[in-house]
Amino acid sequence: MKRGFVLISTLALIVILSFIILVLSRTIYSDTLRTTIFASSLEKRIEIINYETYLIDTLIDNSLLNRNLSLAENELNLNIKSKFPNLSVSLEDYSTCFNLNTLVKPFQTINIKNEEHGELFKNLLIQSEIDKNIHTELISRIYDSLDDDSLPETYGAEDLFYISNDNLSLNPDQLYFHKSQIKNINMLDSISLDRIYKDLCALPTTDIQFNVNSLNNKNMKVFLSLFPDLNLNDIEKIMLNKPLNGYITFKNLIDLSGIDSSKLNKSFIIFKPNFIKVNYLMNLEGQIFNFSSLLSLTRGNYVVYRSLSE
Amino acid sequence: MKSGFTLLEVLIALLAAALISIMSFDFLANTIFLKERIDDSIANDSKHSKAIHLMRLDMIQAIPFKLKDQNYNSLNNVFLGSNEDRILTFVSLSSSDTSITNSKLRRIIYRIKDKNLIRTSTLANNENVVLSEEILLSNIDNFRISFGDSLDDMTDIYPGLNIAENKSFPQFVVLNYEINERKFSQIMGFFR
Repeated sequence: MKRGFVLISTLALIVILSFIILVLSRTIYSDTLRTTIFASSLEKRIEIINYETYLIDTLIDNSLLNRNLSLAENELNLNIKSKFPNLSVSLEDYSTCFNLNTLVKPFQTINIKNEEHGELFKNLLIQSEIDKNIHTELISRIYDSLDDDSLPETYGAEDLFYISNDNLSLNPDQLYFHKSQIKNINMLDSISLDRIYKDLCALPTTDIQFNVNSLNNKNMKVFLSLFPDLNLNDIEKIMLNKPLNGYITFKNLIDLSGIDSSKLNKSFIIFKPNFIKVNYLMNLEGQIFNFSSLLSLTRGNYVVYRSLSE
Repeated sequence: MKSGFTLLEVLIALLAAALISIMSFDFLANTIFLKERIDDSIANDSKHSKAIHLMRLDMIQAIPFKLKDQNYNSLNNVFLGSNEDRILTFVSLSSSDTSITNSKLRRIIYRIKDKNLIRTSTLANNENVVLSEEILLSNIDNFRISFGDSLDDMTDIYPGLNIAENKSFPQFVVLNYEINERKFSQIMGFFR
């Protein structure tokens, strides 16, 4: 009747023991894998950083492509796939935002406030519907934050103000490295920040430069602030008449778009980006790792910053 | 009708189970012991590699931000390194950009104190506001750090004592130390 009992019970015991050993091995394997993936993600990032020089050189050498950044992005992804099959990159034009560092200008060996650009920033504040009562104070605090001197503007604040508040960072007294430094001046609430933050950036230059070939409905608020004489109709003309490979010269822009050249400040207009943000996305064993680099499209010292978080 | 098992069958089954248990006990005990050792080793290695990776990531995200000291005076330096208790000081974009009141910039300070490697993050330009502090590694012996732009020419202090202004990072940072009598050597860089 139950003649197989000895065999079955023996087999059952072996199965149970094997199962325990299997579970133990599995935990060892998964712990090891987790540590390995973390280590290899860093190694990959370092590999990519070393590859950035080639990437920048490619963008500079084929700079005509940069007039249409989505074409450049596709081209780069094709090149990258052969070396890093699990990596994809996306490019963001950083020559279409309002650079906070343009609120100062070099004078001899120091930076002083640039009131002319301050007025353009005020245009952006108006466009962004920021409370008019804080415009002067906000701009003054940014001047004080960026300029080299220790004398506060009439409505500004130098270090003594920040020292008196235990939770604030002092003025950098140098150009901003990241737009988030505007938060340190303690003037904008979350609603105001939401309205203006995406239009801002901090680039290592005090010149205003806007890449007209990347003009779109997301950044036209900045464009309208820089060229207050323009209207929405002009913006539409610039966007609709843009050739596939972008405008090439100022004359080309005026001829093709048909807008009045006196409405534009020629020195502010560029036709390919000077700064781009490269967002890297890599897939390692099903886990996604990302980081981004803000790069200047110049040979040599091209890194503005690298960051692993947004 | 005969039903159930005979005493002999039960005794044979018990005997077989006992024999297998005795034979497999040693193997199972070894496996459990091995797992504990591997877990310990992974935890230690993981803690160690996490500490070193964190340091590397901070360096990758470093920016040449001129520091002010605790008395709010400008130091005209973007990076301070020494073999004393405070080994590294610089500003990095190591925080997420979610705060309403603080920027993404953080001053990162690495210290060696009581055989511990400690990482502290503060506001970029106000060291008195400490935002986080963590012991990354313990039981460190014979710690030594050196800095330089060439591996053949490294110094204990960066920038040198007579340099009043410095806007750059050293090309290499070399760490040598021992943990539980195991020797380690790490070469790091800022990639700028």
